[in-house]
Amino acid sequence: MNIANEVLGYIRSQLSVDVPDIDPDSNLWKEGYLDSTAILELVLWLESSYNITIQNEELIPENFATLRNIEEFIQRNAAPQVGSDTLPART
Amino acid sequence: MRIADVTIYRVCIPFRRPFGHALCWREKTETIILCISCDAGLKGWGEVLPRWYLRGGTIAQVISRELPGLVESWRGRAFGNSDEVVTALCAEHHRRSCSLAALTGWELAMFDLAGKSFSFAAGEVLGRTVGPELEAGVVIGFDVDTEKLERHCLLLRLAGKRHVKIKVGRDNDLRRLQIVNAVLGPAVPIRIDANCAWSEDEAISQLRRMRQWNVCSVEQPVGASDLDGMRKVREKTGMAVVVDESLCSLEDACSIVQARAADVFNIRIAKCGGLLASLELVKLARDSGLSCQLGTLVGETGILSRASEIFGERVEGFNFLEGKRQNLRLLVEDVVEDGQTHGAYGLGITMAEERLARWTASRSNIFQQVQGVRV
Repeated sequence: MNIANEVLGYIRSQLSVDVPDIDPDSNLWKEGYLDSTAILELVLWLESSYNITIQNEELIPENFATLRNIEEFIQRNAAPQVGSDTLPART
Repeated sequence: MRIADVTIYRVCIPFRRPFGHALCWREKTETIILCISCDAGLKGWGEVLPRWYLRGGTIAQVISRELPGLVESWRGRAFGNSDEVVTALCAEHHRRSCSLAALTGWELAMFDLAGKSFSFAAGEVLGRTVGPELEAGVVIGFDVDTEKLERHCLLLRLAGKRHVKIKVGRDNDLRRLQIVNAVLGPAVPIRIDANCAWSEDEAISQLRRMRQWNVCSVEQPVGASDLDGMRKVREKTGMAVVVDESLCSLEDACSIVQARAADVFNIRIAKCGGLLASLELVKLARDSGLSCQLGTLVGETGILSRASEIFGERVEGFNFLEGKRQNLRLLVEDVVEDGQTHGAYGLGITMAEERLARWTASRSNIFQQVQGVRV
């Protein structure tokens, strides 16, 4: 769950406050961890940090409702760097 | 509890992103934080957020005249319990010595201080029952470009937002409404807010065309003083009219009811004179068969935002709180400690005094000024 931990770190440091340890399968929106503006910022951060482009039709709960959903989406969409088995370095 | 000291902070905090509507475009907030201390050393915090178009005067007027006037009237006064504080604040409201914005800040600071002194939650002055937390209503301003609007709405849909308002009053209103409706679908009725942008004829013409996009209400279609125009918009379009800029005081509310100019009052604590005055507006609306919605002012810090949350939890009849916690997302940094849990007494907030110092442009002790002490 490295990506999930990175996303949680970003949420804690940049988007929300007093965020406890979030279960990877907790719904981020329904639990109130993030509001709509925070989602916007999170999506922009995911695109720049993992060098991906998120299409409008991909903005659905199946991809972004939980930390696990986000991690799996990033893993499916982020191309590994040449000569590396890891995802692009985060900025 | 005797008032021992009053300090005001003129605060300027940049926004993370701008926000715009028909009357203004903002990239920062300029607000006044008020701290009233008592002889026991406790502090109560309030906020004054003047808006010229809400008859709140200017920051300079509030600092130079209105708050010193309140201090002159209140200094040295002692209170033995919460009822005495409520009685004094009601009397101050009736005296109407200053703007509603300044009264709001003074009332909040007094309730915060009295709550800490006499161990009660500020919300108790509104009612004993604490209702459920309100959902957040979101507002789409002119700062969201039309080419980015679809994505913005997709994110709102992703977040499950059901209470959405869009600012109108520009040439591309119809195109923007079409996009919002296409993404959010028929289950999300759209409220629009013209912020006084139209004449009566323009409003009627525009609303007839906008109706197809699932628009359920229009806020302040014409100028604040044009109650006759508002009534005609209601009658000729059949659309629910929300009053905002037209509604600040109880006298405003009476005039609106008498003119049959609205269906909904937009209650915002910062413009209406605080918790007690806002409650009076809600009562009048109920008695007159009108409904109410609850909102915040763009640029509020966590002090005013918390007051709105308290109001929404204690006063029945609201489905959402527009702009709820937007201070956390909009301000580069808030002057109130973040957190979902609140203290038991007063407003239940914890001030972040280091952050307050960081964003304070000027600070003055008006208590000492009024007493003629050189600061």
